[in-house]
Amino acid sequence: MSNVQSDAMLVHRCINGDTDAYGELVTRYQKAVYATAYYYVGRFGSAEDVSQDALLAAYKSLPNLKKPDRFASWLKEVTCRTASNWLRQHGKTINLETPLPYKRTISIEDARANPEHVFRKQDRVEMIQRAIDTLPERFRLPVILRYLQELSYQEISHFTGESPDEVRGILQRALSQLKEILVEDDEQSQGEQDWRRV
Amino acid sequence: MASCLKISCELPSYLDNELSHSEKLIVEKHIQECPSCRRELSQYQKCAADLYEQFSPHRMQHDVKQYVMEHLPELDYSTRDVAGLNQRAKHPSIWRERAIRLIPVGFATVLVVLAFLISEQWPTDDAWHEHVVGVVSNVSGNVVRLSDFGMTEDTTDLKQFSSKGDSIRTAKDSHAIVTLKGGTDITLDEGSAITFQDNRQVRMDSGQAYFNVTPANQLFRVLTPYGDITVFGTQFNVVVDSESVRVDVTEGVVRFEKDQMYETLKKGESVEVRSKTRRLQSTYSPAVAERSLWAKKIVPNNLVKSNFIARYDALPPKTELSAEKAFNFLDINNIPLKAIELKWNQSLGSNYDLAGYHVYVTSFEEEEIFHRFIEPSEFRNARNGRLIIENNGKRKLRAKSMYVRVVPDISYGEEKIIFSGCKAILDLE
Repeated sequence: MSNVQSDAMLVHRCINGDTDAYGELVTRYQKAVYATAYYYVGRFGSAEDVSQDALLAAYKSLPNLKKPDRFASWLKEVTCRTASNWLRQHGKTINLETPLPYKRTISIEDARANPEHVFRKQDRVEMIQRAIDTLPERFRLPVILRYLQELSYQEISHFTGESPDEVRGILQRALSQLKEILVEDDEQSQGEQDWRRV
Repeated sequence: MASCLKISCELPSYLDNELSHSEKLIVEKHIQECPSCRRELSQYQKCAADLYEQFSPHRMQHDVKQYVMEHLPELDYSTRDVAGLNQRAKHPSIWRERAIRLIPVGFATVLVVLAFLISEQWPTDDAWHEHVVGVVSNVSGNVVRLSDFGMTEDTTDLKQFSSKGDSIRTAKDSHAIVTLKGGTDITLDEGSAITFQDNRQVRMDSGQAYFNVTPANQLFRVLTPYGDITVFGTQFNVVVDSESVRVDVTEGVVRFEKDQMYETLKKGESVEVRSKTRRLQSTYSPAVAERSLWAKKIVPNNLVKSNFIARYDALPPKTELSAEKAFNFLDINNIPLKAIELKWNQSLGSNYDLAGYHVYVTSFEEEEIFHRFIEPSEFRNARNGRLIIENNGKRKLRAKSMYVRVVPDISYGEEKIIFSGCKAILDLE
C-alpha cells in the first residue's frame, strides 16, 4: 500500500481538484468504511447507504482535514458520525429493534447459560451474534473489520488508529474469547465431555 | 519447545496468516508435536469459519466507488472554520472559563463588600453619640419625654438622654433642667414644651424656659412660633404663650428675628412679640432680672451633668475653628465694613512672649468677610490698648451684622491677650 502513493499525497491531489485521487482513496478504504457502517447500522441493512454517505461527506469536508497523513482514522471518525446521524434520524422507526452494537447487556455467563442448546442454523447465527456482543467494545470493530471484510492487520491498524501490535493482540484475545463461548456451546450440544485448555 | 500458552495465543494470527515467517514455522512445528494445541487450532479454525460464514452474507455486495464518484459534491472550503468552531465549542475561550471559575469568588467578594457597606451604615456607638443631644439633669413633678418615633415615656428619670427630635413636656407644678452637649442648661418651667433639633437648636412651643447658653463656635437658636432667637453664648429667659413670645436677657447679647425684622437685645432688655407685631422694639426694664429669678432656684444635678459632659463632650469638636474669644453681633446694618478695632486692658509694650492672633470676621450668615493674622509685634506697638485691623477682604460685602473671633497662635509666644472689646468701623462714604 505504501509503495504506491501515500494517503497524504492523494488527499493533496483531491484538494487540488483531482477526483481520480479520491477514487483511489475510496478503493483503498471502502471495505473498511462499509464494515464500520455495518458495525453501526448493519442490522438495518443500511450499511451501504451509510458508507456512501460517509465517503461523500468525507470528500466534502476534505479541506478541513488538518493532518492528511491520518486520513484513514479521520475517515473512520466521519463514518462513525455519519452512522450515528443516520441512527438519530431513523431512530423513531428502528427503536423497536435492537441493533448489534447497542446490545450490550448480555454477559458471557448469559451467553454460556443459554438454556436452549442450539442446533439449528438460525440459532447458531444468533449465538455468534450474542458472543460478539459480549466482547469489550474496543474489540468489536476490529473483529468486524477482520471477519466481515477480511482486512489485514495492517489495514485495520491504519483505519482504527491503533498500532499493528495492538490490533494483533486485540484480535487474538477476541477470537480466544469467542472460541471459549462457541466451542463450549458446541461441545455441550454434542454431549461431549467438557474440554478445558491446560 | 515453545510453551503451549504462547502458541495458543498466536493461533488466531496464524489462522489469519498474519505471523512472520519464523513465527509461522515455530507454530507449525509445535502443532505437529502437541495434540492439545492441535485440537485448539481446530477449534479456532471452526470458530473463525463460523464467523466468516456468519458475516459472508453481509459482505459488501456492490462497489460503492462508482456511486460515490458519480455523486461527488463540491469541496466545502467554506466550512474550513467548522473545525475552529468545534474547537471553540469543545474548548471555550479561556477568559470565559476563568470568568465562570471566578463566579464563587465574585460572589464572596460581593458579600464582603455588602457586609462592609452594611457595617458602615450600621448605627455604631459613635453614631448613637451623634444623636444624643442632652441629658435631663434635674426633674421634679410630672415630666414626659416624647421620642422622635412617637414613643412616650411618662416619667423622665434623671440621666435619661434626649436624642435629636425628642420633646420634653412639663406638667403643672413640674420643672426640669436639660443639659445639652457643650454644657448649655435649659430650665423648663411648668407647662412647657420644647423639642431638641440638635444641641444648638431647639424649638419651643409653649411655656417658660430659662436658657444658659455656653459659648461655642456655633450659634445657638431657639425657634418659637413668633420668631427665632439667635445667641452665641448668653443667658436669657423665654416665655411662650398662645399669643406672644417674650424674651428677657439677663446676660450677654441676644438677637430676636421675626420675618425680615430683627432686634438685638442687651443685658436687662426685653422684647415681647405677638403674631401681629410689625415692629420689634426692645425695652430696658429692671424687672427683667426679676423675671428670671425663678430659674436660679433650680440647679442641675452636678453629678449627672458632669458625667454627661465628660462622656459626650470628650468627642472631638466638629468645627476646626476654636475661638478663644468671640464678639457677638456687631451690627453693621448693611454698611460696608472698613475695619475693626480690638481693645484690651493689658500693657503689652515689653511683653515678648505674646501669642499671635488669627482674626476671623464673618457675617451673621457665616460668610467670611476677612481673615488676618496679627503678629505679636503689632499688639506691642499698638497704642492705648487698641488696634485697628483693616478689612482687606470683601470690602463691599453688606451684612446685617457680623461677628469676630480671635484665635491665638501660640507658636510665637504663650502669653495671651485678654480682649475687652471690639468695635466695627464702617465705611460710611
